[in-house]
Formats: sequence, C-alpha cells, structure tokens
Amino acid sequence: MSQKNSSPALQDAFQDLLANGDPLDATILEATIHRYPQFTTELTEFAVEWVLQDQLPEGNSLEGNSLERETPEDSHLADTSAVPAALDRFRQQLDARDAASARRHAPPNPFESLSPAELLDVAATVGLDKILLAKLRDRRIVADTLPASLSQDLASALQVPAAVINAHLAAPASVPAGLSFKSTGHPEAGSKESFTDAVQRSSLDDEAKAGLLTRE
Amino acid sequence: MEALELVRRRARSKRREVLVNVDEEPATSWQLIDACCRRQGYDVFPLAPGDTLLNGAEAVLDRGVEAIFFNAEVARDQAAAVVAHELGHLELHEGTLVCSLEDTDASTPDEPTPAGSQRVASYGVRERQELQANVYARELLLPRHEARRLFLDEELGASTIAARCQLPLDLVRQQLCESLLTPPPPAESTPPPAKSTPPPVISAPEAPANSEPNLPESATPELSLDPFQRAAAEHDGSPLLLEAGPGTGKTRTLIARILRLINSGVDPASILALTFSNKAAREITDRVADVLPHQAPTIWTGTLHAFGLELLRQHHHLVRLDDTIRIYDRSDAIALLEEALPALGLKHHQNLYEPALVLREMLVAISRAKDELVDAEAYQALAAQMRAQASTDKERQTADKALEVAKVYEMYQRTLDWRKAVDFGDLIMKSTRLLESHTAVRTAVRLRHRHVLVDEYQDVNRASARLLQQIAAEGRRLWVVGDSRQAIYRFRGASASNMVRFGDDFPGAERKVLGINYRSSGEIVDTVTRFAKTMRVSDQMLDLQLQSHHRATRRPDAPSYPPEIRILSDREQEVSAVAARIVELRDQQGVALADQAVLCRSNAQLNRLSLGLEARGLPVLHLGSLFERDEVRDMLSLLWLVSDARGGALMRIAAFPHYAIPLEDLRTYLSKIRELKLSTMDGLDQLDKIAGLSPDAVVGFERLNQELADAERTSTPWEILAHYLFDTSVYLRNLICHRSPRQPMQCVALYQFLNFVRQARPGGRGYPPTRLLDKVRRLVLLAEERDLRQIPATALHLDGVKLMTLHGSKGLEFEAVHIPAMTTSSLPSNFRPPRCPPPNGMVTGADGLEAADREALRESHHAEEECLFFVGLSRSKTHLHLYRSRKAGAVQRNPSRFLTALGLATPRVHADTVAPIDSPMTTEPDVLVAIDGLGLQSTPGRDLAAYERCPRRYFYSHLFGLPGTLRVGAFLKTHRAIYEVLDWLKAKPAGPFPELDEITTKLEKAWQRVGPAGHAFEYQYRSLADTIIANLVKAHDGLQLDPIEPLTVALPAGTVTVEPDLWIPLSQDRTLIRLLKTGRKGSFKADDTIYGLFEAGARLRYGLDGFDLEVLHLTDRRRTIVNMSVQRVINRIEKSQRLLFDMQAGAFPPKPDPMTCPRCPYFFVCPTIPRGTLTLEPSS
Repeated sequence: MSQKNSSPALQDAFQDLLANGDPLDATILEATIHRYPQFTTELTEFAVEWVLQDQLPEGNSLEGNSLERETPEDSHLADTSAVPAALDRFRQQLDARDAASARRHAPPNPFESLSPAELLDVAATVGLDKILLAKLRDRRIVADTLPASLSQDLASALQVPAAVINAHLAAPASVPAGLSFKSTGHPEAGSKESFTDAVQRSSLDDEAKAGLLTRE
Repeated sequence: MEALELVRRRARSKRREVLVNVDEEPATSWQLIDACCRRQGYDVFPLAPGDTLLNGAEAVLDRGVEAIFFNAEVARDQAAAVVAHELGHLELHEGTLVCSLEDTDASTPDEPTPAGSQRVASYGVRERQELQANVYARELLLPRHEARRLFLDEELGASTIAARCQLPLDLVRQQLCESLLTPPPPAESTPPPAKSTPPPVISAPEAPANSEPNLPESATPELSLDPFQRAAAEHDGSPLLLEAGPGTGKTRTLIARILRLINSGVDPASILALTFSNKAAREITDRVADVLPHQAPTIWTGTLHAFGLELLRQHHHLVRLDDTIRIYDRSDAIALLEEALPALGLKHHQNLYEPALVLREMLVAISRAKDELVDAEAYQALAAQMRAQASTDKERQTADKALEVAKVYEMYQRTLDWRKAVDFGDLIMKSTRLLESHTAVRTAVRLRHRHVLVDEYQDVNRASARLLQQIAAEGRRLWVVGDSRQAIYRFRGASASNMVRFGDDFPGAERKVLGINYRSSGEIVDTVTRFAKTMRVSDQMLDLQLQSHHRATRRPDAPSYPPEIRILSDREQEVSAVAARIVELRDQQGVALADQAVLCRSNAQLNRLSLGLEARGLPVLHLGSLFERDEVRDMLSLLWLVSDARGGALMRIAAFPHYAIPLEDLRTYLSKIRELKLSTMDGLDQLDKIAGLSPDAVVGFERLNQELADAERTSTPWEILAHYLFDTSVYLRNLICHRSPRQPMQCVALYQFLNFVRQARPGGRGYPPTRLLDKVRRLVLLAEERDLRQIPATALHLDGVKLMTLHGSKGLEFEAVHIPAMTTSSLPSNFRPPRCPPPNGMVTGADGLEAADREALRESHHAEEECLFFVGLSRSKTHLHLYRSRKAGAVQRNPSRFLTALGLATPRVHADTVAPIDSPMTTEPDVLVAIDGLGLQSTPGRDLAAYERCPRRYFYSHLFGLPGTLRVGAFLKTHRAIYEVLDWLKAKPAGPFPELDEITTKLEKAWQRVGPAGHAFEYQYRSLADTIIANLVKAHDGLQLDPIEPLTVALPAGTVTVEPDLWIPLSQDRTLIRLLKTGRKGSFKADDTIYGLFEAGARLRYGLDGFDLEVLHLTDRRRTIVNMSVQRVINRIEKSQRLLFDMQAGAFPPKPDPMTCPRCPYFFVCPTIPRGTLTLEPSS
C-alpha cells in the first residue's frame, strides 16, 4: 500500500500506535484502540504482525515471505519517515497472506452497504443471478473481461460512477465480512475468473447466458 | 437444560413448520432442505469444485445474497447434510461462514470422548458453532424421536433409513446412537431462546443475587451482583486475586467481569479466559453467549493446555513441530517405550512381566518434572547431584532410582521429539519455553490477549504459573479467582503456594474476597467454616468468613437440618443406611433422587455403593469402570472375534441370548475349526462341515454368521460395531425393549463406549480392532480410563442418585450429599509415597522443604485430603449425611479424624430413626459350571495354583482350552525361550549339571523358535536372557542333578502332585529341592498355597530333616528358603482341600484384580460362560 491508496484514518491510527511506543506493549495498544475504536481489529492485527516480523531472527519470516531487514539506522519508529516504510512492509505481508487483510486496503465496495433485497433488485435489473452477483461483489471476475455495457448498467443500478465499479473489480478478490475459519486453516479467497466462465457457471438459463455473453 | 438440547428443539420446530407444506410423506432430505430454504427465502446452488465462490471449502452460507453454495461433487446424501449444516448457522449464528468438510460432518458426536488426546479439545466459539450447526442439521434431517421410531417400531436398520431418507449413513448412525442409548430430554415446555439479546448492564443490586445459578434460557441482560462480587467484577488497574469460597458465585462473578470489560469498550477478542477443565470452559462459553451472542464468539475460552496447544500450532516452526501436532497420552507413551526398555539396562525399575507398570510410575515422575519445568537434562543433573551428596545406602539407592528415571526421561523425550509429538506436560512446558525464549512471540501474545482471566487458580502448578506470567506480563489486566481450600490436584503439581505467591509473581497485586455463600444452608456453612479452621492450608490464609444467604433470608420457622453422622455395625449395614436415608429424603422431604449424591474417596468404594444401592432397588447414575461392564465387554468381544481367527471371543458371544449356543457345542465348534484349520469366520460360513452340533447351536451359529457377515478385520472398530448394532443384529433392540432398573445405565455405558470407539485413534501394530483392544487393555492397566467413568452430559438428567468421587464432585452442588466410609485409612486415605520420588531440588514447597523429604510429602498429602473433604462437605445445599461402619469384614475401623474436626465424633443420632434397607440377597451366588467327568484323581499343583489365582481363568484355560488373546511382546518371548531351556533341563536324566556352552546352545535354538529374534532391541533382550542363563549355571556349578520326581500330597478330595524344577542330591541323606524364578527376589515371600504343598510333599517323603526347599531367583541369584511352620503347612493343606472341593463342585468364580485382569488372555470375555454342561475326559 502506498500512502496514497490507504485510508487516511487507518494510517493515522497506525502512525499513532508506532509513534507512541517502542517497544510496543499491550498498554500502548489499548490506549491507541481507545482513540481509534473503529480500527480495533486492524490495530491489533497490525501490532501482532509488527512484532512478529520485526523481531524474528534474520532470514526467518512468516509464511515464507522474506522481508528486508531494517538496518538499525532506519528502525527508529518515532521517526515518521520510517512509518510509511513500516506500513509498506505491513501491506506486503498482508497482500501475501490473505485477501481479508488485503480488503482493508481495497477501494470501497459498492455492494457492501446494500441489503439482500437491494442486492437482488440490482441483480434483477441487470439480468444476473445470485452466483454472478456474489462474484461481482467479491471481485471474483477479472475486471477487463466484464463488458463495458454491463459495467455501465451495474453502475447505474448501484448509483455510482462506472469508475468505481472498475476500481472495485480491479482490486484483489475478497471474502465477505464476518468470516469465521476453522483454526487449522486460513481462508483462501478464490482466484478470479473470466466473465465468460462465470456466466457459464451461473444458474441462468441458456437464453439469459447467451444474452450476457453477447454484450459488449 | 443441556445447551445442545435447545439447538435440537429449534431444529425440530423448524422441521415441523416446514413439513406442513411438504405433501409427500416421508419427506426426503432434499425435499426438506428445499422447503427450509424457500421458507427462509434462500436459494441453494451446487457449484463445481474449485469454484471461486467456495473459497476452497465445501459449503458457504452467504447471507448477503441469501444463498447457500456447496460443492456439487459431494455425494447427494452428504450434500443434504452440508446444506442443513449451513441452515443451522443461518438459524443460530451471525456472519458468513465458510465450512470445510470436517466442519460439516453432521455425524460428529456431541462431546469429545474424555480420554486420551481428545481431552485437549478446543472449545473456542468457532468449534462450538460448528458443533451446534451439526447437531441442528442432524435433528432437522432426522429427529431423534423419528430415528428411534423407524428403528424400533418399523424395525429398519441404519442403511435402510439412510437410503430411504437420502442421508449419510454415519449421520443416521449417530442419531440412532443418541436416540436409542441416551435418555429422552426433559419435556418441551419452554420456548427456545431468541437469537440475540440486547447488551447487558451491570447494575447495583437491590438484594443479593441468587445462588450460583445458570443463566435462565431467556437470559436477562442484567447480572445483579452482591457488593463483594461487584467489587471484584469492577476491579481495575492492578492484578487481582479473588478468593472465592464455595458457593459464593465465583463463575457468576467471572462472567460479570467479562461483561463489564466488554461494556466498557474492551475488545472481546482481547479477552482470554482460562479454565482448568473443558466442562468449565464450555460453561463459560455458553453463559457468555447467552448474554452476548455477537461478542462471545471472539473471546478465547479454554483450558491452559488447549491454549498451549494453539500456541505450539501457531509457532510450530519455532519449536520443531509440524502444524498438526500429535498428542501422546500415557498409554501411547507406554506403547512407545515398553519394548525399548531393556536398552536402558535398568536395575531398580524392572518388571520383566509387565514393564508397563514400571513405566507408568516413571512417566508419572516425568510428568511431575514437566509440571516444574524440569527437562530431561536438568532432571539428570539433579539426580546426579543427589547421588554425589548421598551418604547412606538408602540415599544412594534413592539417587540411583532417580538416575534411572532420568535415563527414561531422556529416551522418552528424544522419541517424542523425533516423532514431532508432545504429551500433556509439553503443552505447558514447551509453550512456556517458547514464550520465555522468543521475545517476538511473547510480545505478540501479550498484544493479542490483553485481558487475562483465570478460573480455579488454586489448581495452577508451577509450569502453569510461569506460563501465565509470560502471557500476562506484569499482570495489570490479570484477574484470577480460586480457593486454596479446594486445591485437590497436588498430584499434578498444583499447589496452593501459587496463590500465596501471587503477590510475588505479580507485584502490586490486590486480593479480594467473595463473602456470601448462596448455595448452602446456614448449618452447612457453619460446618464448612468449622472444618476450614482445622485445615493445614488455612495457616497460610485469612479465616474463612462466609455469610449464609439462606440463613439471612429464610423464615424463622423454617426447619433446619444439621449434618448427621450414622454409625453402623458393618459395611452392608452402612449401605442399607445410605439407601434408607436416600429414600426418606425423597419420600418425606421431596428431595428427588437426581438431587442427591453419594461421594466417595475411591472408585472401589463407589463400586461397592453402586452395587449395594442398585440391589436395594435404587437407580444410580454410575458407570464405574467402563471396560468392565458387561455390555461393553460384549462389544469388545465382537471386535476380538472379528480380528482373531481362533475364536476365543465366542465364549462370551455364544451366551448372547439371541444366539444361546450351549457350552458343549461351543467346544465342539472350536475344536473342529482347529482340526480343519479354518478361521472362526470361515467356520461360520461352512457350518455343514462342523459335525456334532446340536440343532440349537446350528441356529445360533447361523444367526451369528448372518449378523457378522460383512464384518472385516480391516474395518474400523466403529464401522464393525455400528453395522452390527444398527443394521444387522437384534442386540440393541433386545437391550432397549428389556426394561430393568439397570437398563438406562447399560445404554449410557454403550453410548459412552461407542463415542470412545468413534474418536479413538490408537497407534501400534495390527488391524484396527486389534489396536483398539490393545489400547483398552493399557488404559485399564494404567487406570487411564477414569475420565470415561463420567456420565455424559446428555444423561445427567436421568432420575437416579449420582455417585462420584470427591474429586469428581468439584464444581457441582446437590440438595443432599451422603459421604460414607468416614473411617481412618479411608478418609483421609493413607499416604503412599511415590514410587519414583522427585530428586532433591526439583520441587520446593512454600515452606522450603525439599519434596524428596518424606515428611514433606506426607504433609502435602494430608493437606490435600483435607481439601478433598472440604470440597465434599461444601457440595451440599441442605442435607449432609456422613456414615461409617465399625467393621469392614473382620477388621475394626476407627472413626476418621475429620469427624472430630467437625465435632461429630460423638454421633448426634444414637439410634437410627430410619430403618435400613437391606439387600434382598446378601451375596449373589456364583453360577456353578456343570461338568461331567471332573474326576480329579490327581491334580497337578501348578493347576491348583492357577485355580487359586483365578478360578474363572483356570476354567477357561485348563478345562475348556479356550484360545486367549494377549499380545506376545518381546519380554514374554524372552521368557518363553528361557522356560524352554528350563523344561529341557528338568527332563534330563541324572548327571552333572550341564555346562554353559550346552545350555547356551539350547537357548539359541529356543530363541530362534520362540524368542524375540529380529526385534529392534534383540541384543538387549538376549543379554537379559544370557544373564539369567549364566546365573543359572553359576548357581549349579559342580552340582549333580537327579531326575525330577513329583511329590504327592493325598487329600480327602483328591491327590495333588507338585514338581520342582531341579532335584539336587546334597548328600546321602539330604536333597535340595529347587524351584526357579526368572525375576529378582525383591519382596518375594514363599508363602502361597503351592509352597505349602511342596513343604508337605517333601516332608512326607523325607521327613523334617531330609531336604532343603528353596526358590532361586535367576536375575540376581538370590535365594528364598522355604521353611514353613507346621501350622502354616496345615493351613495351606486345608486351603488346598477347599480349593479342590470347589473345583470339583464346578465353582469357578472370577477373582477380579486391577493389575491381573487387564493382562489376562480372557479379559474381554470374562466372566461369561454359556449355559450347559461340559463333558471332560476323566483324568488319569
């Protein structure tokens, strides 16, 4: 994540955390959470990742990702110029790890705030079924393969600019909120597929499928 | 009500709603699923495996688009269960959930089996949610009452039901298991709870709270607390140790603390609630979820062992483990070590016949060392230091024993590490070391778990205390609760000294106390307080000052029930008195049986009370030793039958009422299949070749063949038994339809056993049934099956008196408590020093005494006994009855000193006002075996000795010739080889004792034939055998041997002949009669009946002075001279006469013994003998 892509408030929270304590401890984290309660989970996960990466022996890393070690000169956390670097490093870890973390840095999801009924309205308007709708919501369709007209129709139904739809689809695949996982495994956000494949795998009838596939 | 029963109710309610709209009867699973989904407005979509929406799982519940996606390649019946599982989540839980195939296994039992590594189950909310969804799915698709009806009324088997309803077979089996073998739930009278409740508010109470309640099902959002509880729940800013006496609302206060933290804005995910039992973890999870269903899922609740396991899993790469960690329990550990034991050359800890017993003691010592964070290297160093400082023989011997334990510890740990496995002690020790040595991990844990709560802090051992220090840092947000007077796990290293040291471990700590007892009457509270004053542990604490809420709130004219002691003449009278009091409380005071408990110090006492109360017509909730119950042995015999070609298991199975194969026919069958070289199962298939069977026997065998037709020894034990019980046989129908007072517990026992079978994963060699049978033997021998005696949660509401040990009663409460056996040596129990005491310096008590100091250990034992009694006393709400008998058999019994401490040494009740209830039969007569031809003209002495050891085993092996089962390990093979040499020696004609070379050649031949040739540790076993043979030769160097002549003793009932091993002429007038034993002398005494017969026989032949009789122990070449007094010999002869007489009368009663029985080849069939007469050839 570069500074320009991250949510400013979240970045402030991270900077606040790192600026207030070296080394990090539970009291500092609690205090930061108190100031930014909306980022409780993010701050906790960040803090845990931070200490685990920063203090493992050289060459060791979580999940096989190798990271460049900070030199002592640039490891001073109170120096704000080091914080974006730290945040960048954090982002790399999250990107490499799981889609749930990546989601935190992704553009807003235009589907997220809709109720099930509203989502179904959108699907009906645009001519999609629930499978396609879910795949679009979760960014499982390669953005470039979506017909422009469909993108336009979606934007219209969702009352957002088309660019938002494109940006949403261009972001990494995500897993919906409130996810629970079995403790021995990590969730695997499914890979993306082409629009054609997604239509073929939908529950639409042949006519509806053909209608979608001929769009441009 | 059991929490899962609420889930089942909701499922049944949903099913009823939906079935109204389904026209077809019976509905298939898919029709039902379809109807459920339509009702919820959900669609179900099968997706290709690997479809991106599945996220690598088998099913996804997506509330956002109101859909359930599932893997289309899952079999249709399984798919129905998978979707039903997701419907369970929809009904019960929030959020989108992704479930793997393992999560959606709707046949998963409700409870993990409380044995082995399954004890460290994770009780996180995620696991609970998956379990709830599985239970919901099962009940939705096939409600228990429906499963029961189909099985019993329509007589359909599991396979037929599964095919008809299109359900997975294992789901059907699980529902049948639960519906047939567990008691029906309480009637459905209250509606199910709402899914979510508003967040709670903790408000100042108007009046003190009720006694330790479970939150009601329609949970109120408020927890009212008394001032003590509120002060504790609201504590802030420093570590807190809350001393909570019995009945003061400890768990309630802990829950309130959690709620208060969350209400004040603390992230629930930062709360870590640690308990010391899975049951307590479950209770906290359920109670918090009742009030905060959305927040509860993220609180980590569980035992310290489960937390340690999770730490090790997460950071396995740092501790050289894999991410799937294998946990070894004690029986696994023994299986690992026993055959390698000779490699260590142990001297002090050696048992050539049953190395498991020696290993068990050493593993206890090793576990204790891990409780103190002492690794193998440190143990060795301490033992070596002890040896260096030893100045007496006794001290040197103690140190040498410790050094041997160190050797075993080192080998054991190396084996575990090589296998990347851990044991229970490692879960704490390794995780403590991980946190102590890895700053990053320690900091990460502290960042994630910022608020730490610990229940039962008095049960913390040193290792756990250090782990907590690593987790909680300086403890600013640490909150612990405990009661030093209830510290009853010292044998696990738990010590009240950790409560004393809390302030040192966490500087700045505060202490608070809960002061109001809500459980018990004023009289009980007074009794408990009085006893507390006399407890050793009270020296280190403030006085127990409890206010009784009941006293404060009861009416002035309400009756009072002071505790009472009853003194009876003997044990039978004692049981009668207990029974009478139970009935009186039920009939005159309205105290239901289920609200009464009998608490005993030991399992042996429990068994006695259980049998006695049942004989007097009282239903009891007591499983006892699971693997010794008849119905469980029936199942074990079936497994034995399937896995062993020789058919010994038929001794029990033939007696199943629906086979009813007579005894003589059984022998005919077994000898014929041996002759024809057929396996048992092949013989059943080829009955036409087995001549001489009666028509009844043919019918029985044919039925057995049909019912076991598909059983394969390569199948899992669960598959074999489930198929037999739920598909092919009438065993279960017969059990359920035959009502008797014992039937409910028989069913519960089977349920518990099947749960165990389903979840056990024994390692080792052989087919799956054989491995399980071996595991069962080890568990019984090592007394590791204690946890299986617990009544499963689904059966706790059975109407019956609860019987449990004092240990087992911890945390529970009953309207009436009965504590029998209040005598010295019973309660408190006698101190038995550990067989492998820890080396000096390993454990230091709070008073600085070295733990190896015997007096310190004794003191610690007595302190724990006091705590145990304190726990027992404080379980009572209203009625407390103590009992003791003046005699146990012929032995006088003195009153327990605890009675003096209670002021009850002089009984309050002099003449019993309640007539005792006697058993209709004082003793159950044993079945006599009708035997024709048992003309015992002459009985070998060794046969008589075998009969004396266990008449039933003697019948099986000597009279019937029943094939047994016993894994012949390397030790036994070594013995067989040695005994072949000794037999050869006995048969030699007169002459000089053979030279070493000649005997060694014989040994070599025997070794190749029957010894452990080719074993991984063959060298060590052979060294052992060579030592024994060398000692044999040394002891007889230069001596002559005469041919063996049997000695004869004529008795009225017949003649007994005894044969010595060696006959050595010492002079013209004197003969040395020698008996050989392969082991060490140890504490051996030649006092048994057989030695009396040798004495008598020798005296009859030689007179008093013409012989020497001795036993030579070949491992250490020590001798035991046999020289009984005349009276002793006469007693032994009279005993022999009685034994012969009983044998001829056909009396072959079993002689149960906890050490011998698990090693008996007939363990699984004993004590069954099918009906009928056995005809023997007359003996010469």
